[in-house]
Amino acid sequence: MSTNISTTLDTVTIFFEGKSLTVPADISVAAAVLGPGHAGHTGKNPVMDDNRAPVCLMGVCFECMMEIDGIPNQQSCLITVREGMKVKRQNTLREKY
Amino acid sequence: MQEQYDVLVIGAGPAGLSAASTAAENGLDVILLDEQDSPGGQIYRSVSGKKSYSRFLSKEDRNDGLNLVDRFTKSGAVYLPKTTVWDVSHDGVLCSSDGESREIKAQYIMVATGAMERPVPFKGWTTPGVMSAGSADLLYKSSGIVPHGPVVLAGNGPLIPLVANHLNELGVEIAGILNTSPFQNKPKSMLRIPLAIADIPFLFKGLKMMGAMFLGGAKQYHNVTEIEAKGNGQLNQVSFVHRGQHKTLNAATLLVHEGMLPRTHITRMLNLEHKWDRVQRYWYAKTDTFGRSSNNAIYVVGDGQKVHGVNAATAKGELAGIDVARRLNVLCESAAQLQIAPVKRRLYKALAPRGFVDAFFAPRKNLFTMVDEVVVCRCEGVTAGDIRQAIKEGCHDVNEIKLRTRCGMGPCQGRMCGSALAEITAATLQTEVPNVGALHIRPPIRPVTVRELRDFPSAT
Repeated sequence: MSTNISTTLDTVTIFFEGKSLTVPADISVAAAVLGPGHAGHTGKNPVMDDNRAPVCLMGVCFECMMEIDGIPNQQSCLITVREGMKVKRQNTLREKY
Repeated sequence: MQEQYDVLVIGAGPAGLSAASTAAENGLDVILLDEQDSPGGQIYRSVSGKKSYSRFLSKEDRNDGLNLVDRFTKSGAVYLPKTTVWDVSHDGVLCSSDGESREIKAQYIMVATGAMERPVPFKGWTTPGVMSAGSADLLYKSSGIVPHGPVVLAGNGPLIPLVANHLNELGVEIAGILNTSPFQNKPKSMLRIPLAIADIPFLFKGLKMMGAMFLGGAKQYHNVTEIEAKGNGQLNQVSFVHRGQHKTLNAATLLVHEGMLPRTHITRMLNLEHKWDRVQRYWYAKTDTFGRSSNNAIYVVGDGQKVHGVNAATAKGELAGIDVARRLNVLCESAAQLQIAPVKRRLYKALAPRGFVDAFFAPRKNLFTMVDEVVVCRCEGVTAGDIRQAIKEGCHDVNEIKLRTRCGMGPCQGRMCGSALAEITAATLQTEVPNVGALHIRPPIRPVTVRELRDFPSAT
């Protein structure tokens, strides 16, 4: 089971924008994409259509919202990485309208 | 599973952990809900994690945090991590863990949701690479990751020297420290020194911190104005005015800090009575010494009530825990007094230097005089000009402006723009912030899916 792997290993592999990324097992998705992922930004603002990235890393600013395993609007700073997790930058404006 | 408790605590920081531990040790059924995956709040974020040894720069801080967590673990209180509370009433909460919602009832609710950094809009602050100063520390404590250098720090508040010193120790390049604190804070704060003498080690710690920042060697610019973050989709420069001259620094990260605010979304949603702090310019829930709010069943404790720092937060949590045990008759009055006395002494010692600290780091007068094109509401793209236009058209209350402009209606629900909206409105109308109202906060206070709204087990 993947859960066993992630608790016994120090690292997990996630997929950020389709590319695999091996990161420490105990960190948040936001930390993983900003640090090892060198993402720069985590999504686009649906009103202004400009790049955005986390500001607070404590669940206040909502700028870290990403699509995680197919579910949009996830606060990536509050979610710990899991083995095999699929993470995408959020761009609701372009995708939905 | 039991879904009815004597006491329900929201938030696993110093105040929440202490409140829950004290109430549980006195024999009450206690549950503590927290958003993070491990206890400690923001100041002791991930302190009990496997790698916290290398990620906490101060051994004393780490030990204090571990002691709080250890006491809580042994107290018998139920702990519910990774849980988001999205509605609170006087007798219970609605919350979600991993997309599953549930209702938990309690006789008393303690709100210990802590503080956040005051968001202050400026030109370019939505550019990726601009972060709050505290987030750099959180990133390191929770994941061992440091921000990309060169880093520019800007603002006014205790986190500027703290974070500058941490970055220095970690070998991150600091391109400059832009101090925006007004000169007049210094003489004003000196008047508060006599009371602060009660806690000399605290003052000494502060002096040491400022000294270390100076010795760190990063260039400091004082009385800086007109800070602007520049970069197309990614920060690459910070420009500002210093001594009448326009200057520019290359930067990959800009860390800003303009002081701390209590997080009041839950206390506002509960319609508790709030007061306005004129020095630090923030709203806080009115409580007595034990954290009892204007609602009989609700306590507000720690920095989420008023920002007094970790030692005060711990003491405030303990006092609330003792008080609730007394009210639920598991602790007699004389035994309660015995527990209260030493905690009160600790609280008053921790509060002694706050008058000085609050005055020294008081937000400057022109903090919110940004030009019209500055984006205030990051979620909905509402500018200072849009807000001023709405006021011109007759909106005199922040809720009217919110309806008119959508300022505060995005996913963060006004957490990032609420204080700026109120300050801009008050300044435009040439009045004080308490006269322009406060944003109405309604549940759900966190985005939830329709499924979460539909599926919570109804009380059968």
